[in-house]
Amino acid sequence: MNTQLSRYQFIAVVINFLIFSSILMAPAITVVAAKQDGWLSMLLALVIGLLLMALYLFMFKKYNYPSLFELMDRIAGKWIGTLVNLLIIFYALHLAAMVVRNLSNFMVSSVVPYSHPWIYQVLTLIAVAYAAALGVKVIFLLNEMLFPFVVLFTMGSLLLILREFNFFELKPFFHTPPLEVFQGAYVTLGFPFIEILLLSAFLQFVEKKEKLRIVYLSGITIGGMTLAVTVFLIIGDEGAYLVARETYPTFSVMRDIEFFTVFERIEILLAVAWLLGLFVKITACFLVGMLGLKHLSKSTTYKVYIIPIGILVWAMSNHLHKTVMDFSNFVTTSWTFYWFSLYCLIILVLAVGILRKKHKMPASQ
Amino acid sequence: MKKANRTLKEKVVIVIVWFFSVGYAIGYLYDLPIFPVTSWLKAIYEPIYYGLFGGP
Repeated sequence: MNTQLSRYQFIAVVINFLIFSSILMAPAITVVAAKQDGWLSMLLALVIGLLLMALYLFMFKKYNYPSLFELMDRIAGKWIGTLVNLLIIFYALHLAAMVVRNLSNFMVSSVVPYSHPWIYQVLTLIAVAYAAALGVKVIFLLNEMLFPFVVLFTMGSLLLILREFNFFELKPFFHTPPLEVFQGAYVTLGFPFIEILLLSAFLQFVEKKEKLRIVYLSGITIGGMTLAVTVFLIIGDEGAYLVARETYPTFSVMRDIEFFTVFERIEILLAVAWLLGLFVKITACFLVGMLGLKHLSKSTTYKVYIIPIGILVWAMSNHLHKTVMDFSNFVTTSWTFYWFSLYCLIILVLAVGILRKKHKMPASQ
Repeated sequence: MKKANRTLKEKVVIVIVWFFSVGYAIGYLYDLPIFPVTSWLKAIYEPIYYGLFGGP
């Protein structure tokens, strides 16, 4: 299958990638530090994320959107380029494993208690591996088809929250000290606003490369604003005290909504949207790892790596963090700096390439 | 590419990937500390976080 993506398919994946990793947990993550000004933390994270990605895309465009892995080799040389590529592959697979773990944590803690997390991890990874085996275009096509439903479920869920919304819960506005607002923004900056740079590995497949930066940044803006509105509504619905004490406050709020007797326990709408979004995110990260391995081995296909990497992601999803508390603590304290390190490394490599005029050379050199 | 046409580099990468994946999975199943990347990352980044925002 010829891998040519449209800009709409790409922006849909960007929005999905951004929203559905964070929408259930973002309110709690931001509110723990920033209290009732958690929505401000999310907006701050969005602004910083946009600036970081704008710089990255500005430099990436100079090279005319090539394969990310080939670009690292072109600029940094064979050995350093290989090391950088190995790092990018590891980051992609690490993120895939964390999202798989997140999914199984959610299913076990909120949807089907007392079930075994392996069930959800293995089933998800089988679906991800199958999607990866069918090619890069398939996940973008699938997301294009599901995107309207996912948006409908999410927007519908957020509209239903308005019924119990109370401005009083958000007062006093701007009362939280700036450092605590920044602390709330710090966590959501890495998860998901810096992680989104992984999707630049798919820019090479987008058919029309005009205004691609605007498409990418627009997707980030739409996703970020949706998250900010979600945090705002959840705080206004439950209050900062309760939101900070729940792992999935969005889900909890949805669970309590009931009207006309017919509409109750509608949190499953958001859960379905979230699971679909997580599936797309895991597959995107998995595919980045596959593309990297394909490039490293100079192979014509990545299918031979699907099964071992699937096993690795499953094992990592369980072995990286023994408990949910350890998982949450790691994401809160280390995740943003960890991803910022990769961001700085890639920016450095791109900058060195621009200074050495590598962006003016043909791709073969 | 068919198996018969694989280069040496491809075969080496495939073997390494399989070894690492299976080794890591065995490490998880037998609770062995193989490639404890989380502790390495925590050792690097947690002090920075607590230095910035305070904490343990």
